Amino acid sequence: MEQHSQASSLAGARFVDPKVLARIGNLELLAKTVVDGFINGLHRSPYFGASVDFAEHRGYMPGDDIRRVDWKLYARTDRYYLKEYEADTNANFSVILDISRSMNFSSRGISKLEYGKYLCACLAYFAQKQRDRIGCIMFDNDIVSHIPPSAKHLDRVLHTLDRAKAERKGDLKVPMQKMAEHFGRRGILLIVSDLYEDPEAVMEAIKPLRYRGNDLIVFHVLDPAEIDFNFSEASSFQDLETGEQIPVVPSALAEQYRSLIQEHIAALSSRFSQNRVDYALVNTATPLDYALFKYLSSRQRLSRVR
Amino acid sequence: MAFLAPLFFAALATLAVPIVIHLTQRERKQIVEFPSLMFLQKIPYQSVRRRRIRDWPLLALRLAAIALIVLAFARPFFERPIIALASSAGPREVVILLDRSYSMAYGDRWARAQAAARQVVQDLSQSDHATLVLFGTGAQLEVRATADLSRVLAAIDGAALSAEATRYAPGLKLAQRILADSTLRTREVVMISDFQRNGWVRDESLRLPEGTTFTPITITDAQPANLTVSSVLPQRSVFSGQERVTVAAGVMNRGPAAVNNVQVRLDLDGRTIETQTITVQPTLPASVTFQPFTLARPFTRGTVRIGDDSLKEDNAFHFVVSPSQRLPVFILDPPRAPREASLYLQKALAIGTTPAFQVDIRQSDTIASTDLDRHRVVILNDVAALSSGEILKRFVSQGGGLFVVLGERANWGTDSNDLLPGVPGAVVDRAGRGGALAELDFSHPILELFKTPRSGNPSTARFFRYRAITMKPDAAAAGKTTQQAPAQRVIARFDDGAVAMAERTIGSGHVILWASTLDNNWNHQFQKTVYLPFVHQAVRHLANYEEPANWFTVGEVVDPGHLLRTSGLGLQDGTGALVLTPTGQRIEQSGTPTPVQLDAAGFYEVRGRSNQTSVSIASNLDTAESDLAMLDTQELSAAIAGRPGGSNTAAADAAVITPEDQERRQNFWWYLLMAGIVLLGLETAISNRMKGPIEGTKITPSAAA
Repeated sequence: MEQHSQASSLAGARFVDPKVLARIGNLELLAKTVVDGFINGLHRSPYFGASVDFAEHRGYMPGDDIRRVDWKLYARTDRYYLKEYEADTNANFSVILDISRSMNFSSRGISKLEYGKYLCACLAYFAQKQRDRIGCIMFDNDIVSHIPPSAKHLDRVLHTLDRAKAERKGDLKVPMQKMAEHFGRRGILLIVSDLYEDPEAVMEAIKPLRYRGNDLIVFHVLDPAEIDFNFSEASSFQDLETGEQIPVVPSALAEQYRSLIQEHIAALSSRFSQNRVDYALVNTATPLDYALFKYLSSRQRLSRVR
Repeated sequence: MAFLAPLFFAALATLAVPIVIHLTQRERKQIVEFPSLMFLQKIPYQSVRRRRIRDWPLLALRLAAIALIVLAFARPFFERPIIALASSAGPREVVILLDRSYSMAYGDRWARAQAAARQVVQDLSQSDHATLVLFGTGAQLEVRATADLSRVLAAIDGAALSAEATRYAPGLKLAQRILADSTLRTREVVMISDFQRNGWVRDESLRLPEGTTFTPITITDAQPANLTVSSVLPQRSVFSGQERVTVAAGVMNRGPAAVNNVQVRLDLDGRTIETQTITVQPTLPASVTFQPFTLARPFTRGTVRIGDDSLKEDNAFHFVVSPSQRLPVFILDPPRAPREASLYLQKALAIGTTPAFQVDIRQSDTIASTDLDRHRVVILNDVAALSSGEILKRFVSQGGGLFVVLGERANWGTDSNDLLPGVPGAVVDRAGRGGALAELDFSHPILELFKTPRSGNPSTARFFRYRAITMKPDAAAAGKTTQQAPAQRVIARFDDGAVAMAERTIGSGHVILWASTLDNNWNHQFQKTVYLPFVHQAVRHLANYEEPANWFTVGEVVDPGHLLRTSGLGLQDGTGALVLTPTGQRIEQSGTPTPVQLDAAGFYEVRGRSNQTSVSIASNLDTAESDLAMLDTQELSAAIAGRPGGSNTAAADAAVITPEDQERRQNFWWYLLMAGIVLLGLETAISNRMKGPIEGTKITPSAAA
């Protein structure tokens, strides 16, 4: 795996198999174990404190907060400029976890949902250390639970993650639309889903979030079996969400399937990059560190005010 | 090749099941849950459903296994000739039970039964032994265990119907005994009967020897109809001083349909008195009441008769009625006694109806020896010993009754030794509350009346005076035992242990000695409710009175001597009797008459050898036999042999060895079933070995994909 090797190249990173992590019952302890180990391996601190350093001026655009207008400059130039600083505040960090039934799939002991939970817990914990405000949204074909971002919400977020169960059919469009209405303040949105929709539909669903100026990170969680399709027995395949069954001879279909899923991944990757959305395919066999690395790079980018 | 249960071949339709499954049913596959079929559904595929049979050997195995199992359930067997089968099984002991009860007279049942019996005998081989038993209420062994089959055939031809009812047990018990004595290994009982339900009473001890084959051959008709006169009730009444009898008869319809315009006729002494027409609904009784007629002479013979049907024997019901006879009672009062000396006795006896009493009262010093002979009972009411003591003794020994009532004037002395059970002694005065009867022998016919609760208590009367009675030494002890009827017995004692009532039997007559009076002088018994029944019962007992029966049932035993004695015609000892049966047979008996069994329906005539007059009695068939409802022969077979060995009439008529027997002896079904099971096991092994990739549906990526 390309991504896996990329993560493995991180110096000092501890690669803990998610299956091993699954033995830790407590999500907070799990997150602490992963994040602390990850941080210890970095050469410099990943934290970005609040700063009052001036960055630049930019012209006023309708809709900008007038409180941020540099009135002194206006007095001198008779034009409106906004004064911008580097990381003038901590960011809102929301994890958006897909808990549709398809996330229940597992071929190697840990389901996509569990992996997603660990991922969200680790990142929330990491963000907490970053002094970001943490929120959480879980959705299937609607929003199931919503915890607004707050510096004190780590416990609630972890508890809600812990209790999450995949019970319903999934959909992206409706819940994303509703979420867009919720986020008044831009921040970092971390979407964890298996994205079983047409790439165009995925983009259409996610766009409302993007328009709000949020920084989106999409983790596309897939089980190794979904990517490799290494089934051997002829069987009836049942859709976890619809219950529909079709008879399948894997030997005859595997190659076809693999090319289709790779096409899907490629299409998603292409669409997301075109829309300036960070996209990462995460295999549930991949250690969680890799996901943290992806987050870190995004956070660093956000630290620069645009 | 024949089959015992060919209906099971319908199960061959199940052969289509594996074929249909083979052609249509997809094999069950493992189900894999997959997050989304989004991509799989995008892959074009072509499904090739199998519409041709693969694995021919496997299918053939399955079909063969099912066919063999079905064949096993059909119970196949090879039909072999009876003689060959019989000879292969060795000589047989065959007991033929032929029902000759009167219900076999229905239609042509008897002829069919004889033909069936003959067929059974003709099917026997020369080495077989045959026994013929005719049964009705009892069983009669006609021919016992003989290889001479011609004798058996002759006995069958000579057999005749009886007037008896059906009882299976006697015949089966006789067969049981014969088979138990037999040395032959193969034993068989063939019962030829109409198998009426009434004839069977379950008896656990009635089991044929183990290995015995029981073959019932049913002689029956579809929905037999039968009308019968089930009962007759003559009711007496007195009109204008004359006794009249009203006869009510019951007619029962045992058939499935109503019978209209049934002529019911009453004949008296051979003359038709009245005919009525009625309608009898199915399975219901109807009653007919004829006009009353005046009884002119004793032993009037009556018959209620209905029209003929398929079973004529039960269409008539006979009865005999006689004018009521008063029981002559002779009360002897002491000389110069006042007229009311026996007032209470006289009044008590005036009330009786069954029988009515004819009471004569005389003073003891005015009687002649011939006066006693006209009476059945003599009551000596406080009378001293008669001068003609021998006359009394002869009277009693010839069946007369003597009731000795003791008062203060009854002085007997040594005369009592020959006649009385004890010697009357001094007067016992129980001043104050008096005494009461305490120890009562309720087994005695006089006191038996008061045996049951709330039927009267003789101990309530108070006795202020009574005569002491000294029983003879042996009699006092004998009075305690009631196992044997002693010559002398104490029937009752007072609460002080004194004898209150004792009896002595002399010849065929009785003497009762009563220690107190039967009036209001010495006790208060006359005031008690038990007084009247006590006096009546004592007189009836002393007179040996029995209510005359209007009819008897065939099979009952009657004593001609008893009939003659109780009829009042008298019978001298040793004179013998003559009995004329309804069939005209004369049964002459010399000396003391012996009991005669009634074996025909109609009127029997009994006359003493020295008498010109005769006694008539009516004999009727057992009406239970009229019910032709059938017994389940399987039930009978199971009860007596512990296994069903029966066959239906047609099959049994055709062969003595039933198809069931033949099939049981060959047992092909067992081998077929085992072969079917082995094939199924083989099929399972082969199919497991052949189990490979998915067979139900084949999916291949299309060329375009």
